[in-house]
Amino acid sequence: MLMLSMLAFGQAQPNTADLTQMSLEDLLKLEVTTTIGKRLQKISQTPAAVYVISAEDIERAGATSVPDALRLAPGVEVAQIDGSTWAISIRGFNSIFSNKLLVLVDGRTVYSTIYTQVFWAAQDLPLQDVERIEVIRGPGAAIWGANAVNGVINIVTRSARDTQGKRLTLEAGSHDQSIADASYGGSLGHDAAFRISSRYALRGQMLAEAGTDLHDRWDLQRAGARGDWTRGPRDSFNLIGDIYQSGGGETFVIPNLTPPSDVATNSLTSHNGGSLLVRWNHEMAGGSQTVFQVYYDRSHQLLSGFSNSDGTVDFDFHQEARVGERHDVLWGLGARFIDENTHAGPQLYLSPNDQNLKLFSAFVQDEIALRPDHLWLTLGTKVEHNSYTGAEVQPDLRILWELNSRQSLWAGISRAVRTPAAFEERGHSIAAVLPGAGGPPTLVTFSGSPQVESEEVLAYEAGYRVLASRRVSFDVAAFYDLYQHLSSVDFGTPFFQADPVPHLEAPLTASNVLNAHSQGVEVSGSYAATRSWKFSGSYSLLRLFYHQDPADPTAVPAINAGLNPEHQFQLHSDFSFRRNWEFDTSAYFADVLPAVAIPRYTRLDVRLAWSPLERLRLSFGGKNLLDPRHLEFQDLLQPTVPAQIPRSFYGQVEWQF
Amino acid sequence: MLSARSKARQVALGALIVVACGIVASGQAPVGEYEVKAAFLFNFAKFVEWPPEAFANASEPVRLCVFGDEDPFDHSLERVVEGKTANGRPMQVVHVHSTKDLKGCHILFISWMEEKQTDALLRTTRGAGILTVGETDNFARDGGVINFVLQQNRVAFEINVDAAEQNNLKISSKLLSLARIVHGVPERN
Repeated sequence: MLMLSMLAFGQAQPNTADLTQMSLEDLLKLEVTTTIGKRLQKISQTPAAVYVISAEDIERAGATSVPDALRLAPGVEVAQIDGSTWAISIRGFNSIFSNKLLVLVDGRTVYSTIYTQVFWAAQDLPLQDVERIEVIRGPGAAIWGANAVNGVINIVTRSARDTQGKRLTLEAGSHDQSIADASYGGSLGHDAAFRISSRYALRGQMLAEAGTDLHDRWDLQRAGARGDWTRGPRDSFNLIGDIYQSGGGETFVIPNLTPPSDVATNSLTSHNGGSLLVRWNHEMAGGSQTVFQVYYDRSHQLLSGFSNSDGTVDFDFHQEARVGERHDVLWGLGARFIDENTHAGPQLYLSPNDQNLKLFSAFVQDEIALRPDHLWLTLGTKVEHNSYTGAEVQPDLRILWELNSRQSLWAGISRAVRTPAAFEERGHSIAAVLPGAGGPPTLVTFSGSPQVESEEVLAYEAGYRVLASRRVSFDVAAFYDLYQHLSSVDFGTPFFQADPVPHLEAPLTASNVLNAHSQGVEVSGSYAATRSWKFSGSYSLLRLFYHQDPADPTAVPAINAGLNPEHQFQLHSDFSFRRNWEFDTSAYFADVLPAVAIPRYTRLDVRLAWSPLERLRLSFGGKNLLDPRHLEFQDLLQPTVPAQIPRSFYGQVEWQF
Repeated sequence: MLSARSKARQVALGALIVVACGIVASGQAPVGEYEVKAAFLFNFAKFVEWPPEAFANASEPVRLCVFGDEDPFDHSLERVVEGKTANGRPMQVVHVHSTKDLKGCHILFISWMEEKQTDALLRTTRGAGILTVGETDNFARDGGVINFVLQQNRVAFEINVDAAEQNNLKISSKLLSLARIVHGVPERN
C-alpha cells in the first residue's frame, strides 16, 4: 500500500539548480510549459478578430473530435445534431447547411459546394496530429476568397519534424466507444522528415427527444501521410495526403402523401474520400516568400438516400514581398476545377445531375506602414470568376494601430460574397407533406432557380487587444454586418394534382431577395492566477434581424435567424498540481434557439490527467455532466431527427515511445 | 491459505510496483520554459570562447545581459548562475534597458517582448564580440548568433555560424552538433 501511495504522489520537479546539472542533451528533451504571451505575439499584429486554438488547449479541454475543439473559440456556434452531424457557424446563420464559413485543412478547402456544408464526420482527424486551429471571425474574403463571409477556420496539422517517433492515443468511453490514433514519424537524412498516421474511431448511438434510438452509431477509418523536406536555405516542400472511410446511420423524416404523412426512417450514411496536397515554399533574396500549391481532393457521400461525389483540383500561387520601405505586398492567383456527380435520391435530386465548375481568382493585398512600428493600413481585394455568377469583387480595408508593445486597436470594412450552391441553382426536393384536415394533403416541393445570385455582406468590424502582463490577456471584437440578397424561399400559387393521390401542390422556389443586419461583440481573455492555475473564457453576443422585402412580403429566409443563440459563454480552469497531474474543468453556456424552441443549456466537462512517465499520460473525464442529455440543435431544412447529446465518460492513454 | 500460484502472483505484482516506483521516481514532468532557457544560457557560457579582448583579466565575470524592461526569467536566471562558474569565470546577470548600456556584455539575451528593438540591437552589436541570443522566428537569419525555438513543447536552438564568426566567437563543436545551423548575415547598411 505504501508503494501505491508513492506512485500516486509523483516526484519532485527538477528545480532550477538541478537543471544546471543536466547535460545539453537532457535539457533538449525536457517538456516545457509556455507563457500566454508567446502565443498571442503574432495575433496581436493582425487587424482581424483572430483566435488560435492550440494543441494544448485541445488537450486540456478533453476534446476528442474537431467540432469539440472548435467550441473553444469565441463567437463560434457549435451544435451537435446527431452522432456524425454538427451545425457550426460564426456570427449567425447556423444550420447543417452553414454556408458562410470557409473551412480549410492545411490550406485545402473541405466545404462541399454541392451540399453547401462541411461534413464534420469526414474531417475527424487524429487530434494528436493537430498543431493548432486558426479561427478568423468576419470576412476573410480578401485572401481566402468567396464563401468566407463570416469566417475562416484553418486546421493546421503538425509538421513531420515535430512528430518523430511512435505515438499512440487510445480512448474508450460511454459515447466515444473506441478511438485509436497511431502514428510513426521518421527522418530521411538531415533535411527530410515524414509521418504516417492512422485513426480508427467508433462512436455510439444517441436517442431522439422522444426516446427512440436514432441508429446514428458511426465509425471512421483514416490513414494519412506527410512529408516535409528542406532543400538548401531557401526551399521547403510539403506533401500531405490522406484517405478515409466512414459509415454510420441517421434517422430522417420522409414525407408521404398517404397517411401517415411523415415517417421516420433509418438509413445508412457514408463518407469516403481522400486528398493529396503538394506545396513548395521558396524564399527569395531579401526575404520574400513564394508559395505554390496543388491539391486533389475526392469525396463521396451518401446521405438521406442522396449520393454524390466530387473531385476537386486546385492550383494556388501566392507571393509576399516587401516593396520599398513601407509596403508589404501579398498577391496571388488561383484556379479550381470541381467535378460534381450526383444521383437522385427518394426526396431530392439535381437536374442536371452532373456539373463541372471552374473558379479563377486573383488577389492582392498591400500592408502599408503609415508610421513604422505603430500604424498600418491594409488594402486588399480578391476578384473571382465562377461558373455560377460570373465575376465577384471582394475588397477589404483594415487599419491596425499598435499603441505600445502590449496593446493594439484594429478596425476594418470589407465586402464578401457567398456564391450559390448546386442545390439552390438546380435542386428539386420534396420538402414536406402537410396533412389536410378533412381534405386533400398538401405536398410542399422545393425547386432551385438558375436566377439565384450570390449573397453579399458588408462588414464593419473593430477590436482591441491587450496583454496586460505576462499573466493577463484580453481581446474584444465588435461587428456590424449588412447582408443583401440572402437565400430565401418564394411561395408560389398552390395547384391541384390528381396523381398519384389527389393532393394540393405548394411549390417553393429558391430566391435571394432578403436583406438582414447583425451586430454583436465577442470578448475573450485569460488569466494565469499562479504558475499552475490558469483561467480562460469568452463571451459572445449576436443579434441578427432579417428585413422584410416590401416587393415580396411572403419571402421567407432559407436559414432562420432564430437558430442562433443570442448569448454564448465559456469558462475554463486549468490546474496543474503535484507537478504531473492536471485537473481541468470547462463550462459552456448556450442560449435558447427560439426558432425550434430548444432551451438554453449549460455543459460541464471535467478532466483529470496524470503523467507517470515523461511520455505517458493517462486521463479520465466526463462531458455534459450537468444533464443526463440535452438537445442542441434542430435543422429546419434537413429532415434529420436530432439527437439528445448524452452525458458521457471516457478514459484515454497517450503514449510516445 | 494462499496457493503457490497466487503467492507467485503477489510477488510479481509487488516487484512490478517497486519497478514502477523506480521508473516514476526518475520520470520528468513539465518545467517552465524560461527555467530551461536559463539553464541553456548558463551552458552557452561554458561552450563558447570569447576573443581575448572581451575580458580584462582572468577573474572578470561573464556578463549575461538581459535586454528589456521586464524580466522574462522572473529571477530564475540569477538563481541559475549564483555561485557557479563557466570555464573558471563567475557569471553575473545584468538587466539593460537601452542600446547604450551594452558595453561589457558578453551574452545579450533579447526576449520576444523586445521584438521591435531586435533589429537595432543586432545592428549595434554586430562584430562587437557579444553572443546575441533571441527567441523570435527570424532572429538567427537577421544576424543573431543563437536563437531558441520551441519544437513540440521542447526548447531547441539554432546557431548562425556566420554571425558567430563575425563576432569572433568560437563555438564548441559539441554545441554546434546539437543545434540547427543557419548561415548568412544581413548586408551592412
